[in-house]
Order: sequence, then C-alpha cells, then structure tokens
Amino acid sequence: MSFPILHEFNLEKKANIVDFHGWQMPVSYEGIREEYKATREKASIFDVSHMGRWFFSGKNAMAFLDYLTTNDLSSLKDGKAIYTTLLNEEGGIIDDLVIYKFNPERFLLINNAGNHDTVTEWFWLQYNKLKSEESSLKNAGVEGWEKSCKDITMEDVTAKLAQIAIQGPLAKDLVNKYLGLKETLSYFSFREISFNNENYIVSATGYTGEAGYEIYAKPSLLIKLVEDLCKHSELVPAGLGARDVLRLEAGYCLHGNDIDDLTTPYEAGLDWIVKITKENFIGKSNCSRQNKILRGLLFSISEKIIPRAGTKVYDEEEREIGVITSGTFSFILDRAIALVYLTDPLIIKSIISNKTDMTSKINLKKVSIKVRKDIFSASIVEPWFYRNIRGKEIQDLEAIQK
Amino acid sequence: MKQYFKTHEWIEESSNGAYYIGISEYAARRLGDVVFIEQMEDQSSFIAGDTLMILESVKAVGDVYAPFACEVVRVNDKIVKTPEELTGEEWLLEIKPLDPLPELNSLNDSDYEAYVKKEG
Repeated sequence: MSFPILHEFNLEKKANIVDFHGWQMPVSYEGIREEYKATREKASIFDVSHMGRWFFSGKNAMAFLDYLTTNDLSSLKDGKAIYTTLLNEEGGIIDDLVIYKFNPERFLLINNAGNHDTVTEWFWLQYNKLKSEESSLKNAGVEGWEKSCKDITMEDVTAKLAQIAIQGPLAKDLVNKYLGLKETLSYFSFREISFNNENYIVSATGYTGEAGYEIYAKPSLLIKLVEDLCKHSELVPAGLGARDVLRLEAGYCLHGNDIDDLTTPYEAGLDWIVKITKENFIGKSNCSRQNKILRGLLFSISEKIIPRAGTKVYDEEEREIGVITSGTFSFILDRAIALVYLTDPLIIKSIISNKTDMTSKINLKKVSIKVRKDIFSASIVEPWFYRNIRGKEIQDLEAIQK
Repeated sequence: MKQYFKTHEWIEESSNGAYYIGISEYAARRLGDVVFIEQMEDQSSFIAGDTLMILESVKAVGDVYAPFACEVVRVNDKIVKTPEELTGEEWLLEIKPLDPLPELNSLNDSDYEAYVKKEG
C-alpha cells in the first residue's frame, strides 16, 4: 500500500479515502460538487504524487525517448513540455505521458500511477534491447555504434520528487505569489526555480481544462506549500472525484478507461500527438489502425441518468453502434456526458471518409442508451465539452434539441 | 427510534402504522454527491428486497431497498428536487406495510455503527 504526500493532511481533513491502484487516495473532502466548483471558479489543489516520475538524461536520452514515444521531442524547445503516448509494437497505448525538456540531454517524464510497473518494465526492456544491439554493433565494428544507447540514464524519481497540481483561474497567481515567480507561464511551459534555497519545477500543465500549474519538488516542500496556501488563501483541496468530472468535461482520456494497450492513438483521437513522419518509433507501423473512434455523448438536460463505463450505445434503428468508456454528471452543463467508442464499421468508414465530419464541431446524430428498463437519448459530439461551452456551441445544440 | 439494515437503510415509525425510510449518514457519505433520485413511478406495491428508489451519485448508484412488503404513501419531494442536499438524516419515503410486520433483521444505532466500522 502506498500513500500520497498529503496523506496526513487528508486524514486530518477527513477525506473520503479509497484504494487507487494501491495508493490511498482522497475521492473527496467537502464534496465533489464543491471541489469541482472551486476548481472552475477559484483554485484547488490535487495531490498527484501518486503519478510516476522519471529523469532521463545523457547524450542519447532524446533519441531514446523519441524512439519510445510518439510525439516529437527533437523539435520541442527547452523549457516546454509535451503530451505524448508510449506504444507497444501493435500500436496500442501502454500509457499516456507528459515529457518535460530541460535541454536536449535532460528530460522529466510523468506516467500514470496505475501503469508504473508496466512502464518501468517496458523502459528497461527497451533499454536492455538497445544495449545488446549496441554491443553486437560494437563487436561487429559497425561505425556509429556509439549513437545507439551509450550515455542514457533513467532514474525513477517518484519517491523523492513529489508532484501536486494547483488548478483554477486563481491558481497561477497564488503560486506565483507564494514562490516569488515573476512571470506567468504559458500553457505547457515550465521553469526550474529556486525559492528559499530549495528547488522547484513549476509547469503550466494539468488535467482539469482549467489554467493552473503542476509543481514538482521534495515532498516536505510541497506539503508545506499546500498547508500554507490552504491556510492563507482561497485554495481548497480536491479529490479524484472532482478531478474525474473536470477531465471528462475537458475531454481528456483516462488510461485504463478510455485508452489502453489495445487502443491506438488514432482511435482515441490522439493522432495529433503522433508524429508519423518521425524516422522511427515503437508502434509506428500499426498505430494508425482505426477499428473504433472516440466521440463524446451529450445527454439532454431532462435525462436523469449518469452513463457508466460499459454501457452500450444504440442508433435510431436500435443497432448497437458503440460502448461508453467514461461517463459522469457535468456540473457546468447540468446534464450527463460520456466518452463513447463508436464501433460500427459503417459509421467509422463514414467518419474517416468524410473529412467535414472529422472537423465539424458537432455531429448531431441521435443515439440512445438503455439503463435498467429505461431509454435515454443523447447526441454525438466532439468530446471537448468544456471547450464547446466556452465556444457557445452547446447553446446551439440546446436549441436544436428543443 | 431508528432501526438500521445492513443494506444501509434506516426506518422509523411515523404514524398510523407507517414508517419513514432513509439511508444512513454513512451511506450518504460513501455515495458522495447525489445528482438524481429516481422513483419507481410505475410500481405501487413492493415486496421485501424490491428497489424503492435509486440514488444516482457522480461516482456510484445506490438502491434503496424495501425492508418489508409495502406501499409508498408519501415522497419527500424536497429531497427529490434537491438531491445534492441528501445527508442521510432526512427521510426519503413514507411506506406502509402491506402485511403484519415480520421480524425484521435490523440493527440498533450502536450495532449498525459497529457493522459499518467492520465493513470499513
């Protein structure tokens, strides 16, 4: 059993604690709705120290990571992070990651807590494969063998470098003020800063669809930061429950629910983080397979249901066309939303061949789900519900649904 | 005095031989933010173990089971309209037994508390 850095704090706050992949994680403190609201309107803090963290360094670290993952690190600027996927040979997603580039020889990589063992095993397997290739290249006297695996260091820093997320419209100001950071970082930028002679990494990333930071530092420093900010500001702690609603509204996939090692990034709508023109990466030849396609489901406001993972989706002729992988109640839309994989070959074909549908913001096809004896209807939309609201498209949809 | 069940409902006598039924504070807390309360509108009488109501929260679904054969005589409309305010203190339905009450396998306050602790 593992404990996140705020475990004592969580007990003190009487958080509702559950086991999450072997970690004792808070689902909620004062209630999911309250914590959700704080994140969208003010700021909240999430203990995300359960995530896996690695430093990759050395002359060939970038080449190695670019071979392991789908996005392109070589063209990424120093001080920037990217979202990427780690694929198996069949193109399935072993995990989705964020990688930070300090310079071409130093990277911080973040993986999901539930996949930490699998990812660790995979990294070492690939590393050892390269090492053995390297020695055979060297023994065969092949020129340039040094370019393969020489000088790559992988260090699992999960225990010594903790991580928290502070998210919401007030988040950046609160942290800037606390850490004396003079600039407001732009999305997916990060800085290494020294504060009271201690090191912190502050990054403008998150999993809520809200502006905010993730902060990396020694566990004791982050515990103190959280205690100080919760005491002296409007910051409130938020748990996995609120986090799930926030990420679903933002249309972010959760590995294990919406993506897994049988799902390709093209199926999950993550082709934008696959640089298919890259010379080579694991899974390249199989990752564009599309036997299913991820979309959002928007239920009408009168449908009193929360769609759960595994629920089948039917079209107007009652043909099964897909299955829900995540569902929740969207507080901002005051209705149920879900992520769904459309599995019907005809629909997939029409989406793939019809470019306008792929880019159109909302596709108003009516579908339904059956829960218990009742039927609930929904529309298929692009999955970024929260962005749609800000773009006002949901109101257009509302008018049509009426 | 409230009597509790291992399925986390409580009942308390109201009047005329009827009972209020609700869910325990423990169950309400575990369920988290309830967003919908669904009533079994097409059903007028229930046998023991039937679902009387469905509480749908952000994270889970909870059924309120009939502790004995009964009919629903009154619904707490206030809580149905504002399910987010459910704490477990308030009654959800008033039910009337259809038959003379059998011996109920219920727990008192402290036995229920001990049961919940054990269940963890």
